[in-house]
Amino acid sequence: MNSRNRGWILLLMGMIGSCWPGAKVVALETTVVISPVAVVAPDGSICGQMAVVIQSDGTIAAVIPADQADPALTTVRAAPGSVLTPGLHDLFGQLGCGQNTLIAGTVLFDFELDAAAAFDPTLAELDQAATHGVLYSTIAAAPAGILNGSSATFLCLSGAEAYPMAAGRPVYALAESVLQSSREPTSRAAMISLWKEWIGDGVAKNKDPGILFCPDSIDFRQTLSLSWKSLPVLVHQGDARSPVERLAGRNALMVVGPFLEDGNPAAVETAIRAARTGTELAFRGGLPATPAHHLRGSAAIAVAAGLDGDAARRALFINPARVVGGDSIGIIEPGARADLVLFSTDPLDPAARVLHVWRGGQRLLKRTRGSIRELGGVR
Amino acid sequence: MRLKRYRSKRIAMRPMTRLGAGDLCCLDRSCLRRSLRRSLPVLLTSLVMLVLLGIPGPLKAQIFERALVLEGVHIPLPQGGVLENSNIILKGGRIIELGPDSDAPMMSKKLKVKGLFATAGLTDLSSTLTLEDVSSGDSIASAWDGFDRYDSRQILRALSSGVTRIHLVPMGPGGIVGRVSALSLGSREGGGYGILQNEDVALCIDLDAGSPLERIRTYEKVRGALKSAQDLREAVDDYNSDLEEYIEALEEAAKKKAEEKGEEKDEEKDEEKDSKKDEKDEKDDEKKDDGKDSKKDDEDGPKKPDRPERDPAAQILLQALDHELPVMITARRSADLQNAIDLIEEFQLSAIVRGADEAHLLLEELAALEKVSLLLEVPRSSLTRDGGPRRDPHLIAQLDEEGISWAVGSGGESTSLWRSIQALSGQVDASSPLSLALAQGASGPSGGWLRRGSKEVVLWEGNPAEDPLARPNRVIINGTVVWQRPSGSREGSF
Repeated sequence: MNSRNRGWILLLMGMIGSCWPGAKVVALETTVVISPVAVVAPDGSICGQMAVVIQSDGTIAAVIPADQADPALTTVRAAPGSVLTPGLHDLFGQLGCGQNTLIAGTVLFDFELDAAAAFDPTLAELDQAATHGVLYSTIAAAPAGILNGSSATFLCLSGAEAYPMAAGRPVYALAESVLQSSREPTSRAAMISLWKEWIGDGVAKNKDPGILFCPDSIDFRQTLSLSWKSLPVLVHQGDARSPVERLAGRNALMVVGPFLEDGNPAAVETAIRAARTGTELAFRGGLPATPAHHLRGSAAIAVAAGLDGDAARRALFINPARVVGGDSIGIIEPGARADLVLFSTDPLDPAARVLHVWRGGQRLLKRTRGSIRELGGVR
Repeated sequence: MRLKRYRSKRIAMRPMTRLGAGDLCCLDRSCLRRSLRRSLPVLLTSLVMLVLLGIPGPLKAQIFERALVLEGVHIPLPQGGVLENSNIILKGGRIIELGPDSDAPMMSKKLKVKGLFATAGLTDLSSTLTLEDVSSGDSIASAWDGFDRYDSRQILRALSSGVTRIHLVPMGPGGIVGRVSALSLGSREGGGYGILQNEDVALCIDLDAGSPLERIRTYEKVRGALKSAQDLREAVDDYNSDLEEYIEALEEAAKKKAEEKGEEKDEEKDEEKDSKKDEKDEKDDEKKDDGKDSKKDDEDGPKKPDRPERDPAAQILLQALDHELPVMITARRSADLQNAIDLIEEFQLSAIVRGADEAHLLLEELAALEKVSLLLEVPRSSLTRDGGPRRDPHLIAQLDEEGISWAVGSGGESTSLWRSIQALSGQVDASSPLSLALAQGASGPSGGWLRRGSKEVVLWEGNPAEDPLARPNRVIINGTVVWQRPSGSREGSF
């Protein structure tokens, strides 16, 4: 982002801030230190008494012990007990799509379909999501073919311009939704044989194993029965408690959820069993239809059911970036984007509130009183 | 075998002798003592058995049941802090002693629960546990009737979140949907779970179901039902007063009749000299005359008032109108809340408003009502504008400012109660989620904090008062471990 563009963006953000009563953006002028604060480390643990230095280009310059921070720098004092995290990531929801729904499937292997075509950066819901700490949205076409184009990841920032955060990854499907009467494959057996051929030729050439939708238990089991050279990211939301144990020792990455209160406990149990096999999890989103705090809600439900707290934090912040191949997002480390959220306490605590949000080092202030009333719109 | 045969032969060969009265003198005191010593244990045992048979069952269980000891648990205290390394002793299903100085009685059963945190069970004041497919639509329906005590999957899930008691809210198409029941989730003797504590906790009215037009119709229907219950009461009152008048009139008529009879008897005495045959004939004639007279009296006398038809549903509504049964009104949007307020004002109801998401828009009206409290549920609102009612994030503070009492319920299968309370505790000053959770249902027999007499104990991994990631490990109700977190990789329940 060059300085001229940044000026326009700041102007635009200022205009958005003045139009939208709930939030306003404060421009980053100098190096800022957030200190002393507990920070979510790359392993998901919480490290207390740290200082995060954000430089003027909107990246993190350093993560150091609080007592080593230069007191001469502009310092944002974090409230006691607050925890600084990377931005939350809404995976495979509809956030930023509005009424647009991208559906693949007319072509069985669609290499050209780009989910970015369905993204509308002007939607106000992106800023609304940001006030809840959701800073990235990854969208993908509804999986109706074997290859459904590529995913797209954007920063949650309402404006004229979209900010892609990661290169698209191929999105595959081994699911009932692929079967259609009007074209091949019309049966599950045909689909599996097509998959076997594809693995033999296509994926090996492509090298990126991509993201594979296998929503039901049978899809999951048949996926694991294929001879993968490198296992794709598995997107599963059903009851695969039995086959999930076959993930042991395969360094898998699995997208699960969203988990809702009074939802399917078997899906939660599947995720927990997967985590026990050493599989890394990432929670799937569902915005804007699901509750605004759905991602943390999914994590809290999984933790209550037995998931380790560190694994849950990784699934919230770090692993979604791995799923989409984002290099500088989802992590608090030198060189990463300063897309940060300050929670009043551990983000796994249902009582945690979003205190501050930084997007590319720029601070998004939230009004403390009546903000949701104005944001949500009382009818 | 040989020895036995030999002995039996010897006994058989011994000459049969009988002790006569004179032979008794041969039995000296030592002989008596010896025989008493031999028979004393038998006598004592039979005496104890007789006493035992006379003691009622529960008392017998309390006397002879082995105590259950939870050793080395930490007990969070209401005023903050923790009572560390304490023992909790349960007998007869209740806590009889707790604290660091409590010694385990002899022969007690010990549970290895060292390091876990013990609290009382949570009460979900708004649960629909196992009522997914049950629909009811009148005041006679009780939520307890729809409770599936054998749905162990759902019930164990609720227990696994630390909930031990629920107020079961009936579900229906809207309007008057039935009565709320209170139950403990303890295991039953005959199998399954759920012990009824109170079948009439509140009358449930749902003003939230359906489209806006349907909701208006529902409101009018409820209003009509309450009014017809009032009309029925008036009809019954009228009937009672008419009945009194009728009884008085009957008494008067009876007196008149008795006087007339007296005159007729005098005439009969004069004719006593006639023959028996004639007497019989005359008596028959008189009888016939009497019959005619009584028929005449019936025709001319007071008419018995018609009793209004019995209506058990209306009787329950009358209980609500008389404040004998609180009313739980489900209303979330501001328009429905206004309808609820109108009902409460018109019929002077003691009400609990369930949901009340948009209560911040009607704070003054709610504060003006007497005997009204709110039962909040954590909303699951989406970012989309038409996703449902919107709740102000500072609603709790506003309710506290206005002095409106409130509580929290899950509104679902109870599994979300603890997380709902945790989420709301962030809005309440100086309050841990645990104190907020245990304040609910504290008026019940074993509600509130853990104390002597409590029947329900939840053992947590981590201190629920401080650790947001604390989760239940075991749940004990009536001295029985009803749920335990499965260990190992193959967990069977969530």
